[in-house]
Amino acid sequence: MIRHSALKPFSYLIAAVIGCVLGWGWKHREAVPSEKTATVDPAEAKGITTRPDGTKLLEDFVQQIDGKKKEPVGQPKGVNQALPVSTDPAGDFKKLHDKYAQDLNNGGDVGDVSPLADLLRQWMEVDPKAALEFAVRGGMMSPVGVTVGQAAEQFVKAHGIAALVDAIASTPVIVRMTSSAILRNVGQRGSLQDLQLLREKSPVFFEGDRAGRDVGKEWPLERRDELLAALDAKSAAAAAGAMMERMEGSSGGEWLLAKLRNGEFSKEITDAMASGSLGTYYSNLKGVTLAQRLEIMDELGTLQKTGADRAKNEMIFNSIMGAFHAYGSDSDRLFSLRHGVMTAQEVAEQVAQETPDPGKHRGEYNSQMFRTLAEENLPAAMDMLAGMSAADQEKQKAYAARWWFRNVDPDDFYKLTDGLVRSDDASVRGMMQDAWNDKAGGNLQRFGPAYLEWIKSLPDGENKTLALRSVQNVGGASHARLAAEAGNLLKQKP
Amino acid sequence: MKPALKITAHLAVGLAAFFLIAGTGIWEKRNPADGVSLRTSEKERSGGSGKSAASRNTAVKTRMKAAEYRAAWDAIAGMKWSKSERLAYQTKLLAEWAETDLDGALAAALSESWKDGLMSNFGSPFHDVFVDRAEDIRRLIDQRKLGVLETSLLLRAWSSTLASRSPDLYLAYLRGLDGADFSTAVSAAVDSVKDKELGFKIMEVMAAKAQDEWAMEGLARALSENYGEVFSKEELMERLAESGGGMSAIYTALLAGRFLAFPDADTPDKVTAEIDSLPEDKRGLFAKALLNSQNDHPGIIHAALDHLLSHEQWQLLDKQETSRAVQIMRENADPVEMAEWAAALPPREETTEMFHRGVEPYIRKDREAAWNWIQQMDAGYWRDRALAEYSQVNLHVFNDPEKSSAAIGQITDPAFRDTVKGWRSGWEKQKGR
Repeated sequence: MIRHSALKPFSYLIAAVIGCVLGWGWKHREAVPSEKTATVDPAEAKGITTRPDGTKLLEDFVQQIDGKKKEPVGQPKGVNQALPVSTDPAGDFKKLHDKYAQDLNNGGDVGDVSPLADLLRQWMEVDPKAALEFAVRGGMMSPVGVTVGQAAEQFVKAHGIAALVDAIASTPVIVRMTSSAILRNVGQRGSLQDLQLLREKSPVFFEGDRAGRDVGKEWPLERRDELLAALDAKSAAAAAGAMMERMEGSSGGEWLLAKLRNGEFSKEITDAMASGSLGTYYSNLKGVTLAQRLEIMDELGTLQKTGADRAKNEMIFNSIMGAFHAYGSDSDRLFSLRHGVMTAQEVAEQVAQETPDPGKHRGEYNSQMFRTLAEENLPAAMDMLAGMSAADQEKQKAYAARWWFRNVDPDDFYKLTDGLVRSDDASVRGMMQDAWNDKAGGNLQRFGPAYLEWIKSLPDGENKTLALRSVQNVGGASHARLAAEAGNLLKQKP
Repeated sequence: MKPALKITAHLAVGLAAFFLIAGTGIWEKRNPADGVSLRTSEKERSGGSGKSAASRNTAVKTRMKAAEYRAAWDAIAGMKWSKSERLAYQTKLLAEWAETDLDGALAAALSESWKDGLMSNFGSPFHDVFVDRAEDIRRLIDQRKLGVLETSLLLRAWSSTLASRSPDLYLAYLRGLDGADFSTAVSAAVDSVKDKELGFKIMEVMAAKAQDEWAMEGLARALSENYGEVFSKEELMERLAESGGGMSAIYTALLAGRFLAFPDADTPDKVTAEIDSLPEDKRGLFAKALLNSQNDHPGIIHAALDHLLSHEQWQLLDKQETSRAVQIMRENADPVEMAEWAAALPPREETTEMFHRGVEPYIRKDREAAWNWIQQMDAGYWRDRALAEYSQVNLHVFNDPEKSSAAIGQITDPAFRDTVKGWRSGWEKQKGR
């Protein structure tokens, strides 16, 4: 009996233990992420190598995503874009504005703001000052901020400039938010009268060079001299630049240069040009060749200070970068090159259509184009060097290593330089330490100690030595321990 | 008990145990994030934007297999989308792919160009999975499976996401990191999140790691640049008074960052006054932090350097740091005054590089005047050094070996003269002489 009664709870204990073990097993099965099971394609597991149709899968995915896309907040339900005339435009505008703001706060995008702009225009017709003052309270980035220009443009089209001037005259923030729309309208109509009205009633429009730029973007080109004569020096300089960019081919550059050569601009205007985009290499300007840009800078007296060589190199750089990365440009040519959808020649030809003629500096232009494309796809970019001697090809690669290849995968930089450190050309070899030094600061900032770990993993040889020395040289006080360790590793090398 | 009843009773006990274990978290491996649940709130996952779980979960219902995601990914280039379209679809595809096949999705993103828009916001497709599967990410980081540099990018993006969306989870994981990973995780967080409470908590964790030099690598600069304006001087002074070792350098760097954040802090008098407002034993560290910062204002650099020199804090003078400092100071300075300043330095190993950088502009500007100036110097360490610099500038700037020889011939210390001849031989080799 004693044995029997002692065994009884023991057998229950065994049952409980078995239950626990099974339960743990079940739990453990659950804990294996369901996605892990999904990662194993049964077809793959059986050794069947049929590749899924990626394009079809991608198209289905896109359809699924787009089909579920949230309705843009710019087209809220129940709002007809062609709004009837409101009996209370101020109240209706505020209500709709709140809805837009709420949607924006909830992560939607602004979408089409024309219903809001239309109500704002209706309110402006009743009380332009109150409407604009309310509208600008939220700033340019608020949902209403982007409607102000549109509403102002509609208002001016319907009622002319004079009806708006009093409402905006003394409020710089309103001027900033509406000036582009208003001035482009003035430009489209080529109205000297309206320009004069704005200058008299609202001089704040003409602070800086914005007014000249905006009017110049639309003003009838055949009457360009009338516009220049009607503007203050700073605005005239900007208007001349804007009109130059609109002219056919490179005739704009020729027109401006002829006027500069003939001394047709006042000193005030040329001074304003010298301190604006025409006097520097910073901006990309259409309608003007590289040679014309350099000559314009020379005429304005700014070329010597910058240095012709530097100005030329920077202009080429900006033009190529602009073609790939300019704000508003949505072409994806570098991605296409990387993935073999476009060849280097195709990319280069397309970009050439969008960049100023480099003229006698084509060699530098082609070199910079090669460097830019080599960052994305070195083997594909090498096509651009076809026909060059091996020595010249090495030089081009060395330039790419020395001045490009920042912020790229350091493995790509290593692959580019590995042959160059053994070049027969001393000038190529001589550039390599500077090339590594040039990358070290950014890479230490980006990767921290992992950058030295990566260098340590490189095959022993000259390139690795240069890499270690660059960390020792550039690590400095911010990465003192890394610099010291790189130094120690260099000492250990035979 | 009848056998059938007995069996039923045993089965009941077994089943009860089964459901107890299967239904609860007993025996689960303890989360390294001590006391912090890995279950994250919807707010954390959505970055506080208020998007509901439903809105995310209904985004896509049909899931692909890993190989299908890969195939779809590879098909993207052929679609010839605009850049914005491509980035938007890539981001969405990666986000979904990561839920099914984390390693594959991360590897795919990292295989793209590191200059591409996708990589400039690498964490974006993975924000949810970074929080939801933090332990898996930690495992990937530990294993370095994606590669050394790729792991560093992953660690940075993960730290940045956790710090902004789930600070407690971030801190919990941070406590478990050491060495270089710790340093990367802190610098990523302070780069992206500016929050006083988080900043102090990070520094509490740092205090426990202060003996680990790799863990502290680069952090003085990272905090100084990002958190200078976040803390008040009083808060930093209070913590500085209680700190020691590596954390003293961090707090003084933060004080320097705070001082530099104010644009009117650019006169030597203000720098000196700020240095003097600190406890005496911290003044040198503060001056060093000013030198070590990204600031390139000659007045600030000059005053900080003068403090270290006049207080003979040689151990705080780093060769590269002081060389950079003198190069900044000399940019707009009169070369003669700069040379005079250099010649007044105490002749020591720690000041030698400063001397060379200080006299160089004078020799470049006017060789004859500089030569006469050197001739008037007292014989000794600085005169020999000035002659050596004269030789170097004549070789490398003016290509004039005769003037170099004349200078080397006047060097009185024979060992140093041999050294300078060695420098010259480098130039000769380069010129093929």
